[in-house]
Amino acid sequence: MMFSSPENPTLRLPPGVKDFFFAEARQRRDLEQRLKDTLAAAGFDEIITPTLEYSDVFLLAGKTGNGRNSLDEKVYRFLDRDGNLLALRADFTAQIARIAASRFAGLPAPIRLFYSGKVFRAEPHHVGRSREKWQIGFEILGADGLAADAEAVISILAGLAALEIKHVRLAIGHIGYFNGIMAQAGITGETLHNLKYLVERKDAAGLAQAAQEFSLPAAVRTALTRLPNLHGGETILVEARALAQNDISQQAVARLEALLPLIQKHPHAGNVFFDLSEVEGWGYYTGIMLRAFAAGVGEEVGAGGRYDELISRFGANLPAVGFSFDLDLLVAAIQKKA
Amino acid sequence: MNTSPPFNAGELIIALAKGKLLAPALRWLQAAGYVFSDDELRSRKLMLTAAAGGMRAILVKADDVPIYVEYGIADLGIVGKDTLQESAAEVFEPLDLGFGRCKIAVAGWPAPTEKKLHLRSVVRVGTKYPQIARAYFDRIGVQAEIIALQGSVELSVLTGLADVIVDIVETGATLRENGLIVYQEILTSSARLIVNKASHKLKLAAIDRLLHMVNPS
Repeated sequence: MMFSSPENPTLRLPPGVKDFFFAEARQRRDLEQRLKDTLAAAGFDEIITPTLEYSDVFLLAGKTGNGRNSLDEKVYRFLDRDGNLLALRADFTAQIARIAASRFAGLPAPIRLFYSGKVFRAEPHHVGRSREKWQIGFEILGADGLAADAEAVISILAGLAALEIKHVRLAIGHIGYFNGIMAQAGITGETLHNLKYLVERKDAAGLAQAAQEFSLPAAVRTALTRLPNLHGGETILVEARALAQNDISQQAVARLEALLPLIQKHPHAGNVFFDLSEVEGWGYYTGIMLRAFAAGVGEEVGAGGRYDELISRFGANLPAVGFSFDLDLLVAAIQKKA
Repeated sequence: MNTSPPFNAGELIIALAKGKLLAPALRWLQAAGYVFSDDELRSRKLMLTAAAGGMRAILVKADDVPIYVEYGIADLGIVGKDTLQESAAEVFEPLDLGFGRCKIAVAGWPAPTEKKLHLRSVVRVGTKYPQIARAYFDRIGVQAEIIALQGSVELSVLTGLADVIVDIVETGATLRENGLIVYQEILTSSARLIVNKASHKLKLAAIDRLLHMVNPS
């Protein structure tokens, strides 16, 4: 028989969590070490954050202008014995924003941090999505310039190279491009939320229909329906400039144009391309959006971006950029290769 | 035994739904240059290879198409918007293929029942589309008891199991024959080309070629 377990109801596990043992545990520790070594060699310092936080931290971090809070929707919350509302760690970046605001004032910038640990999210489990994710990530705090964006890109490429995953891609977008189109058309609230969801799904038909439904101006309609196809190399940026003639979108494109020469000499730069329809992420992103993919894994193996206004919500003005890898999905990519 | 092919950025794997979407889907692929021979189609193989290469097709039940694509086993899929919405799969849907049109509607007895429904504390809904039905009644703030059924949904209203149904309406003939009427259309469906999120990045050139071949812009 394949399984030799005794039948006993207390043996069951909640959905979305897993046990790892022997070879699978060793492999995870090995990959974790390789990523930590790569980040440490690049000048990042480790930070260890608590598993429990007050729930408010994630509520504040996930806030958006359109009334939605996709991070807060996924938080596991409970009352402690004193009646305080606590939460399991749902996001490292939110915690790091809290720590940076309360503890890092006066430190020389940029502050380079890395972390390794679990986040807990109430994901729907219909496709076996994990509710406990092992993330290894980094943040560069106190740097708003292109150099930090480039350093983030190069750190991701270095991390993927250290794991020897062969077929990888890093998509770079900029949330300002989409935000500019929305601001130009005066779109806010629930409408903005719905349009963003359609862009996330690259649903050109849905966008065309929505543009008609909300009677959006022709220029906005053209930009939105074209957005799902704005992916590729430098030439895409030329088209992007022509499609969205507002300052915010133009600045976003200019930022990506300026980023290119800083990263294109990297030996793995061939794996990088632009995708302006990458708008998915927690509500705190303000600049470049980063998303890594590997052959054989159906979802992104890592994600991040620039969040210049998150830490100021906690009281200190520190622009920042960061990224996190999903260790279990990286393992899946490596196993597919074997 | 896992027989998945090694990664090849030039070869697309597409999940196709067995049933009435299959013929128009194959015609659409043919127009894009991917031809599956009659011999392949007549065989009982579940995995087909295009005559000129560049694509493999796996034939699955319609409900399973979004699953194969979401997990990345297939790079692409062709599936009705109704099935896609019901699955809640996280995939890209860059193209409305236009065929396989139908509507999903709320239907039930004509007045006086229709007029009284909004005063009920709870409305019982018989449907093959529990997710779509739940989302609709949530949007309008009506407490609905969703009764998930596998077939002959009209029967649920005729027998008193449900107050209303949420189902596909094509000509409306079945509803009329049973004395039922459409209250409200809630979704217009047609076939969509769906794309796995990672495949979209890793096989970008091949996928873009396919999209532009049929939809030059």
